[in-house]
Amino acid sequence: MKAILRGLMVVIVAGAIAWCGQYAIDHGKLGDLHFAEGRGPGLRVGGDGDGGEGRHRGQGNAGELIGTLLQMTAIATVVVIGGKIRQSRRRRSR
Amino acid sequence: MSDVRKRNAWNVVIDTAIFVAFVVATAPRFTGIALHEWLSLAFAAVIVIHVVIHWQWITTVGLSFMRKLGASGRFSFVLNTLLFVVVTLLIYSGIAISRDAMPALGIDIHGSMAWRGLHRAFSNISVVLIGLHIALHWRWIVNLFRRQSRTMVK
Repeated sequence: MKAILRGLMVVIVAGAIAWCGQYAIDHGKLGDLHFAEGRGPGLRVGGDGDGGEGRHRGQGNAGELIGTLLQMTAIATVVVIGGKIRQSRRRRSR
Repeated sequence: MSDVRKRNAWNVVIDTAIFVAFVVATAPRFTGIALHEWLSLAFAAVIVIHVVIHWQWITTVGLSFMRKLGASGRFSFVLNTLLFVVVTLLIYSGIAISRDAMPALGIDIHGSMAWRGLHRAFSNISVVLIGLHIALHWRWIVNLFRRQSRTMVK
């Protein structure tokens, strides 16, 4: 029962945050933001004559997944190693 | 199995599931949009469970934030709060631009184009924040996994 109530509280807080975001989009400057989409006509592949198939952003790109994993690992490693260095310096100064 | 061990086992399962789901969900080109959306909705549900499981830490640290908390504790609390806000907006912006999951649930979405760019921005920010979140709780994670593997060996 307690866990359900806590879960509901989490959902209500998340809902309030989402409502703020929606409000900022509808009434604030956020709605006017334009992000570069980065989508071009796509790379043309195939032989001469038929023009080939347009290659667009499709499925099967494992590089994106590995990239995210590497980014997170890099950040975590830097912070953990930084913490260890700080800890050993403290020990030495004692 | 004692209550603490049971809780630790659940922590390991849920936290691993969250991590794997997040990493896979950040690669929509790898999974395809449909799987990306459904996985993200499941991720949102598990995040609620993650927060409920760590409720005691949140209330304890939150209540002592102004009084007796050290700098690292304060930083951790601020980072976790920021992470919760960013992940909430990441999920909401994803729902606002949903092409598969929401229509499949019978919900018609007419999200603003601004949400698309914001979704990408929140995704990039959350990668950094989750990296920091893992790093800050690294010792706790390692100890938890060590304890769990020892229990499994026994």
